[in-house]
Amino acid sequence: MSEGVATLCGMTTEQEPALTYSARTLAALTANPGCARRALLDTTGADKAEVAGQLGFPMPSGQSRFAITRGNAFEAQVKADLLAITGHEEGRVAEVALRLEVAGQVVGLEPDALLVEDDDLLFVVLAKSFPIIDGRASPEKVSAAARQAAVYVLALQRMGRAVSEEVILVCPENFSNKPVAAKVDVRRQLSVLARQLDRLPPAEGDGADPVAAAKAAQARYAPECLAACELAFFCRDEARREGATDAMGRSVRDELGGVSSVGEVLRQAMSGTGGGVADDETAELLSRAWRLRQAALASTAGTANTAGMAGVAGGV
Amino acid sequence: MGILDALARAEAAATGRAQPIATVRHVHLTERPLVLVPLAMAGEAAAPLAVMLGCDRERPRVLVVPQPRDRDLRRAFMSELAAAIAAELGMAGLGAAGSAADENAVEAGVASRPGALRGRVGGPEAEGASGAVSVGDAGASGEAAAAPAPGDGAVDGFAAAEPQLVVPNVAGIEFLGLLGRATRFQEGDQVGRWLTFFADRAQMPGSASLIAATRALGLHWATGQSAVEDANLASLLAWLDGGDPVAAERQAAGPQTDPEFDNQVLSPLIADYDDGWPGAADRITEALTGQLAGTWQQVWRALDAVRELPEAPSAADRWTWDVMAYAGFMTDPLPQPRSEGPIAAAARLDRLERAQARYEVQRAFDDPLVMAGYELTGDAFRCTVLAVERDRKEGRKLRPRITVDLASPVQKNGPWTSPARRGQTAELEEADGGVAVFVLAGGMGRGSAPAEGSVPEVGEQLVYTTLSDSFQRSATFPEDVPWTHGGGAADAG
Repeated sequence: MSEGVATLCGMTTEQEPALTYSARTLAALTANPGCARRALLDTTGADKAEVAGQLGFPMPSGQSRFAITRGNAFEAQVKADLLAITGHEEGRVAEVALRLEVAGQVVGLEPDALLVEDDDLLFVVLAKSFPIIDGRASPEKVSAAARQAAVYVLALQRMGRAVSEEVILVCPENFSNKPVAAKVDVRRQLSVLARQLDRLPPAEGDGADPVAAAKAAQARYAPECLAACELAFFCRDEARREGATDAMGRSVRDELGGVSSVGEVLRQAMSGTGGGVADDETAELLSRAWRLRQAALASTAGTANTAGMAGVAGGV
Repeated sequence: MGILDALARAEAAATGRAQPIATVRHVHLTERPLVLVPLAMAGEAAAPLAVMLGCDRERPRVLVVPQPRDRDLRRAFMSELAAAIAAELGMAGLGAAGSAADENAVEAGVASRPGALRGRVGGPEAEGASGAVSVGDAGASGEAAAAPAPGDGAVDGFAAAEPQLVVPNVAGIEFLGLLGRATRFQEGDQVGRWLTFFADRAQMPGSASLIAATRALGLHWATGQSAVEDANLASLLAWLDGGDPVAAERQAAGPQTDPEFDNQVLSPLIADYDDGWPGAADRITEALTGQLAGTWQQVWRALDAVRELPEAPSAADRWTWDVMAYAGFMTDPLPQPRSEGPIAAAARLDRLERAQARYEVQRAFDDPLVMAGYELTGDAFRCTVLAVERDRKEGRKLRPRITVDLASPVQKNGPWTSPARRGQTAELEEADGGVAVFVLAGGMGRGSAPAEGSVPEVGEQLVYTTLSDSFQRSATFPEDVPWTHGGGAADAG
């Protein structure tokens, strides 16, 4: 970018922040705010991929070269014609050194987003190479982009800048390379992010031994972590060893009356009592479900075929 | 996911092996399903890289696009795919359009109006569609070269009677839909429209026209992992066969390739191809075939596992609807627009909701293990018949009365239906402790006495449920969008 670029500074009085985050990191941090392990590693600035490798659970191979090439090419294409693509021909491209207070310290944000300033209002622009086909895009990818964009919007707001809460998502249209812009309202993501950032405990520890710190800290594993966190495979292994029902997904745990361990679920199901540690209502339900399941399995054992059930007056 | 399924997951986690959540097979499988394992290029919307396909697990065909960014090569790939599918479905050697194909269709019992699909190729937006796709001779290599007939006209062979498509996972279904969408508006396309039909049909609850192997397994077994991990076919099979699910996870089942394979193997090979190195295309085919082969075997293994279960009675009924839908598509295809209007969307949602409800009821009626979930919520109960007043009447109507022994109290109001006698309802007359009296109506024939077997007998074990699979009428929809929903004046303006 050359002419027409206005370099604007935020927080000029601040010194250079010690840590620089990507918006993706912050979005992941707030996606699972109850996870002390993640919070600890992030607030001390540890290299999570490195830590995961040392723990014996390296991240599976990263991104395909094809996807990276395509993503970079698309972003360059969008940058080259940003104002026209976003429909802000009268505006100008802006650059802001973004900072944000996280867990009591000011951190820098990697400049992954593009900014357009029009009529004294900033617009966050995200160039993503997933397609918008017939006006629709993958909901998971759009919401991931929205969470990421909300980080930039929040940072700008807290720096006192006027910024639109509608971000501009630029994606290839249908099966072509033609960029198309879509507005995404991120107010919901913004309020979630603000609330969870404010709830983060202040950074602890000096980060001298991140591996030991990670082992010591309590994780809150859920299968969704697999898509968001470098340490997920380590935490999953830990959760499975502990027989945590969380490892099978929150909905499964909820169905099992919130009982946290597989062993305890089966004990209650087979005995029908909470044994003083849990409420007997859950135990009774689990036990009824267990008996019904065993009865149904027994009723078809051997024959397996339930031809008798088809009955006299079948037909739909 | 109900409590029973969650409990089965807990059991699987404790034992390390998948646990049954069905006692019968709820999905119809044809004698010769067509298995397709597609691979896509990372970072592109719908750029096919390769596909392994066939009805014979010992003799798969492999089609490859050596440079997926080249649109001409992609088009050639789609032509080859069309020809390969036609050949696999028993239409090899098709000559001139409209002869052999239609003959075959009639033989198979599908009323095919000759060339009906041809007449509308390309959908509403295509102009001057020629109706035939020529078999590509460009670029791609592999066995496909041996498959198609020379020249053109292969696509009319799609009139095969009852095709069933199987892909490894749900992402495979989505990818076929994307391929269909990417090509169906192109002039002369038929294979895109054909794929679109299957991808759309796969949204219909209980349809078996296009199935994902992971879904078919997940319908019958619970693993000790989460739904996220169950999307991986290799990992799911490891739970079933006693392998290591974590080690199995590393095998990508497509359509996305393993990034490491992309970076280490494929990317240099494609560069060689771009530079014009002789034999580069063959090496790409070889490398991709290696990526596909494992998944290919896994899909067939999954089909074997599911096939071992006896088929549920309703699965055959639902397959009949699939066959009819396909026949309808082949003879009188509806337009496949880019996006639906509000009324079409509402009507489709209504169809899907009714199909979903019917599917759930049918599964419960077919399978005591599914019914057990309804027993838990009080929507079903089991009982044993103690006494029967078989010829009892109210006025001139047959109203037999049965006394039953209950394991647990009746929690809901009826009417109750038993899967054994679906045309008959039972109303609770009185209950006293573990004994209850029901009055029966319907399903006893037209005679003055109940037909043989139409009334439960003493000692018979019964399941009664509030579920009903009787026909549900579709909602009625207006012809124009009402103003409350943005229609009328908004349209005019």
